[in-house]
Amino acid sequence: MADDAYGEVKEEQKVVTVLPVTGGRVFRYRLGRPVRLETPDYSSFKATVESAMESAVEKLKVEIAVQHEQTRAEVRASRRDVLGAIKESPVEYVKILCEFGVLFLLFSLAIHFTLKIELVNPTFAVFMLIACGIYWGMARLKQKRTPNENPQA
Amino acid sequence: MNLKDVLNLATIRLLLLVVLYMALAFAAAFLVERSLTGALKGLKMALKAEFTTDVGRMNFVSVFLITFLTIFLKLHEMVAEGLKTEHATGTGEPVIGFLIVIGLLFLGSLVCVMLLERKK
Repeated sequence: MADDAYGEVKEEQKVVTVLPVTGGRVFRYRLGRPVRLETPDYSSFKATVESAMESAVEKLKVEIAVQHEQTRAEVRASRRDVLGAIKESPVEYVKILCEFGVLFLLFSLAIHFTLKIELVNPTFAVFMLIACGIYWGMARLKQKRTPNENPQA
Repeated sequence: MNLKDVLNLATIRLLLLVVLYMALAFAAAFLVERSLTGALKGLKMALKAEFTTDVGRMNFVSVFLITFLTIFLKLHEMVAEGLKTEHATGTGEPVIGFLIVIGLLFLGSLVCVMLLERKK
């Protein structure tokens, strides 16, 4: 009996009543004392997240801009070097152009005869092979005639 | 010609393409470096720089994007059809024709990176 009575008292104490109060506020009465519910401050949370995101985005923007500038500087320097080399030794430029052209034309002919896939028209490829050979020969002749020109440029 | 023969033929053609591309890459490296050992070293360096330097990564991403867009817009079939000769065997052309074009782009990117790295 005593145990039952004690149980009833405990259950009564556990009862929680939620009463609406004017103004939209909600109070919770527990054990006879009103307990006010903590409403999360969303505006400050949002502001924190926004500021964190903004700073991260700014950092990312700066990093991308720096990398972009670095890449551009590399490309610019390479272009300047290539142009300088061409200006210094047009013969070498013509020669290397002819060599790469011949390489590509030979590759396209090999593809044509082995895989039956036409990258370049075979007749045109043969014509261009001869033309590249002539250009290369002319450049070499010019190089021999003017030995003072720096071949490594 | 049954399916097994066709698959074998397509595999042989793909292998042939790989061999031709390796020869082309080596010859391009030789033209840049002007020596056999230099060409091997240059190729190794270019392959490494393709994935480690900014220029190489940019080139690689561009090649990847072009490949993706071509496949997404179904242009690869058109490219392959345009490259096919009259005597084509009809085995694996849509794949091989497209691979040749993309391979040339990738090889160009490798040569660019090789030239840049060689300068350093």
